[in-house]
Formats: sequence, C-alpha cells, structure tokens
Amino acid sequence: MDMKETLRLGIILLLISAVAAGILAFSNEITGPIIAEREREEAFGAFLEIFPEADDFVEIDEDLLAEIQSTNGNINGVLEAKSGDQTIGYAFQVSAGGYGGAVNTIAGISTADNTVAGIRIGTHSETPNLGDAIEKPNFTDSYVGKTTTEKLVAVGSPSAENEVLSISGATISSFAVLSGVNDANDAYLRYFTDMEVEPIIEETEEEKQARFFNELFADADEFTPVEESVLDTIMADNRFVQEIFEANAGGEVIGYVFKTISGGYGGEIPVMTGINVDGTLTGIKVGANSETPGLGTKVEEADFTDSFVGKGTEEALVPVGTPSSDNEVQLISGATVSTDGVLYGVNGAREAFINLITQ
Amino acid sequence: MKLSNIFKNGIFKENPVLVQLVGLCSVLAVTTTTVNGLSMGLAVTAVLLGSNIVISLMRNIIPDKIRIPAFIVVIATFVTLLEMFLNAYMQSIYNALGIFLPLIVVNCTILARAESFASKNSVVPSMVDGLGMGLGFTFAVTVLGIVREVFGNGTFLGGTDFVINVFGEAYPGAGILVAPAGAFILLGIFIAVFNVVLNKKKKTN
Repeated sequence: MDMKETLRLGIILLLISAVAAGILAFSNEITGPIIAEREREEAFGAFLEIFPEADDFVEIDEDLLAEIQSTNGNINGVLEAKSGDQTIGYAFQVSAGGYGGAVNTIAGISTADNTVAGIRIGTHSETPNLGDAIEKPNFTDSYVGKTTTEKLVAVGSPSAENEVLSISGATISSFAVLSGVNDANDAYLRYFTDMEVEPIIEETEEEKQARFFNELFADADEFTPVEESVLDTIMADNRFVQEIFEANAGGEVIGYVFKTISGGYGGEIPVMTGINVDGTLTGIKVGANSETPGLGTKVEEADFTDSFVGKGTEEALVPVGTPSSDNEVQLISGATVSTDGVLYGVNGAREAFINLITQ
Repeated sequence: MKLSNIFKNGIFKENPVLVQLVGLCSVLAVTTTTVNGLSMGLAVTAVLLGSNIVISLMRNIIPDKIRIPAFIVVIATFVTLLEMFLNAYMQSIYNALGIFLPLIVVNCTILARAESFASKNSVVPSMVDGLGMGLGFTFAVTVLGIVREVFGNGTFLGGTDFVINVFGEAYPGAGILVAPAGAFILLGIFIAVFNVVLNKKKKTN
C-alpha cells in the first residue's frame, strides 16, 4: 500500500469521525444542560437535609472562596443557603484526615443565631462498622444547635453548647469530623460575620507555613518559587525535595528555603530548611506529622531544631549526643527513626542546595 | 431475499443470542430482571437499527481496508446518542442499564450485522435486518429476564410501580438463578429447547 492510498484512507476516516463528533456535540448541547440540572438537584440532597427551608443553594463568589482557601486549605466549597431572597445560612464542604483517609463533611451554619444548623458526612474511607458510625444520626445530631463562636470539643457525653459527640472506638474518625466543623466555624466567623470574636482556630496550616518562612529568613521581604525547569532538574536526582523558594531582601537573593518530604516513624514528615547563600543553615521547621506524641514529635521542638542553626552544608549532617562540629546536630534518644526521617529531608535540601548553586 | 424473510431470520433461524451465540456477556449480566432485560433489548435494537441504516447508506463510501474502525465510529456514535438521551429523559432506565449501556458498543451482534449484512445490502433490507436481529435479541433477553426474576427473586416487573410478588412475599428465591452461573445454565437450556423447536419446524416445512 503506497503513501497516497494511506493518506486517502486516513482522510476518509477523519471525515467520518469529524461528522460523528459534530453530531455528538450537537446532541450534547441539547441534553447536557438537562443532565447537569438534574445532577445539581441530586447533590442538593444533603444540603436540603441540613436546611429544609431553603429553596436554593448558591456558590459564593470565586474570589472570596479563593481567599478563604488561602487561610484554610481544608475548605473545598461554600454555598449560601437561600430561602427566597434571604440568606438563611451557609453550607461548608470541608475535609480532614481520618483513620482511613480524607473524611468529607458538610457543615451547615445558621445565620439567624450563628449556630451549627447540622452536619452531614460525605465520602470517606473509615472502617465499616467502626469508624463509619460517624454517619449515624446520633453522632451528627450532636452537632445541631452547637455554638460557632467557641472551638468545639468532642466528648463521650456532650452537654455544653461547645461539646459534641466522640464515638468510643472511633475517636480518630470523630475527630476528623470535629476538625472539619471547627474549620468551617472559623471561616464563618472570619468571613461571614462582623462579630468581634477571636478566630477559633489559633493558627491555620497556611498561617503556620507563612510564619515558618519568616522565622527562617527574618530579613527577607519576599519568597519566590524557583523556575520550574530548575526545580525539575533538581527533583530528577533528589527523592526528597518538593519545592524550592528564593528568599529575597531588597531585590537580592539572600538564601533558599527547601521543602522536603521524608519518611519517619509514623508516616511522612514535611520539613522546611533555610540555607543562606554562603552555605550555612538558617534553621529548620518541621511540619504536620504522625510521629509518636511526646517522643517522635520532639523533632518539632526547639531543642532539636535549634541545633541546626548555623550548621554547614559541606558535609552531610549527622545526629550525635553532644553536637559540636559544623555537621553535627542533636540526636533525640528514643526517637532515632523520627530524627533520621527529618535528617533525610534536611540532607536532601543540602544536596539540592549544592546542586542549585553549581548550576 | 424477501423482507419478511429477513425479519423472521433475525428472530428465529439466526437469532443472535440463541443461535449465533454472540454478545453473551451482556446477556448474562442484564437479564436479572424483566425490565432490565427488556430495556437492554430495546436499547440494542435502537442502536442496531441506526447503525445498520447508516452503514448501509455509507457502504460505497467506506473503503474496505478501514471498514472496521469506520463501523465502530458509527456504532459508538449511536450508543453515545442513546446514552445522552436516556440520561436526560429516561433516567431510571439509564441507571438500570448502568455500565452495560456504553458496553453496547462492543456487543458483537451489532458489529457482526454491520460486517455481514449492512455493508453489503441496501438500506431497506438493512433496516429490516436490524429490526429483526434486535427484536430477536430482545425476545431472548426478556424471556431470560422473566424466568430469572420470577423464579430467582419471586417478583415480576420488579423495579416498576407494577411489581407483583408472584409466589408471595415470603418466597426466598432460587439464588442460583440470580447469579451469572445460573444464568449461563439457564441460557444453555433455552438454546437447546429453542433449537429443538426450530429443527422440528424445519422438518415439517
């Protein structure tokens, strides 16, 4: 078969497909909106259970949602519950880490009295017959009418207006829901009321990150991510580095912040490492982790992290009982795996730094 | 061939499910209830009709070497149109058919008729063949659906507002018939009986 024949066959097939695609596009124009409308009504199911008097749920302004999400990344969506022209409440779609994965919760807040109108549990991977008890009415009902102006706590027998149920045997699942609802209440207070109340979440993850940047480079006025091509080159050889930022002061690069993720005892440990352009460490920050409370979590404490300040990058950093030389940092006895986990990350940052400045 | 013969052919002598034995996996899966079987049968008939007509109309345009991909594009287009239509206007049937609706694309019956009849005959005979084969398929799956539902589940027309509990509500149901393995055995029996009856009619003709 020659080229001309192949081309002819290809073109005919193209034409047939093009006509088919055109017909399908036309059909989609007609049926698409009908299907979308129906799916929207099905999705409203849970919202209607929380706000039975509402007749519509409208998504809030995109920019406002983006602003909310920059303060708290656990908030996936916010809808206004409307009855006629009046807003009767807000439905927050939140997620939090549970036992088996993310737990998605819808938290409805009533604007009439600033209380929780109700919650519904969405998709999750909690243990059947154990963690999934969070779906049951006796759990979700414990949130109805509770306050939004104080941080909610989960207890065995809730009575006060800031107490909700914790299911014995499913505490992690219960806390995942609690955390999500507190995030929703916090966002509600910050963005949808004029009340002069303290935010109930003392510091969201996003605020913590911003604080870490500033603590690593107090003199910096701007942090900019390095170019993607540079990041890609470094990540190709480096298992731990996820992001690299330049710390700028008055337009000049004074150092770098490396975000790494490495394996600890209980799971992944995110670490931020600050390195001056002269190769000395400004310090490290250890992020949200699942290390053993009171033992492995000591890696978050100043006794450990301070031992990194001023250390050099010429040699790999090692943990010792009494650190003295330029590459020695503090060992935490009883938490060697957690310590090693953090060190993989910091040494990964060190290698990335060396790689970066030689480019 | 006379049009009436083409039509009868699809239902009896060359019934796609009971004689040609094509498209059997979807047969086993959707014949759990009468309504599911009937819906699937009608969906397949609709697609078969459409694709047979179009492929017959285009039989002189489609070059022989790319006929299979061309047939598949046509069949897939009709299935997708059906999907969109059902999803928008007949949602209960759409949900009942579930994954088996898009799987109609690879139902061998449709491709086989395109290849062996529609691409070689003019439009009206192709239309009649599509109708005949589709109804033959519908006949087979509906009967299977009725038997599996009545004896396997104790109901008739379950899933609709007209559901009847044939043996009373306490009927435990023959679980084997509800499972695909039972469906397969039932299909085998159906094929045997059908062919015996056909052969008898052939002898007396």
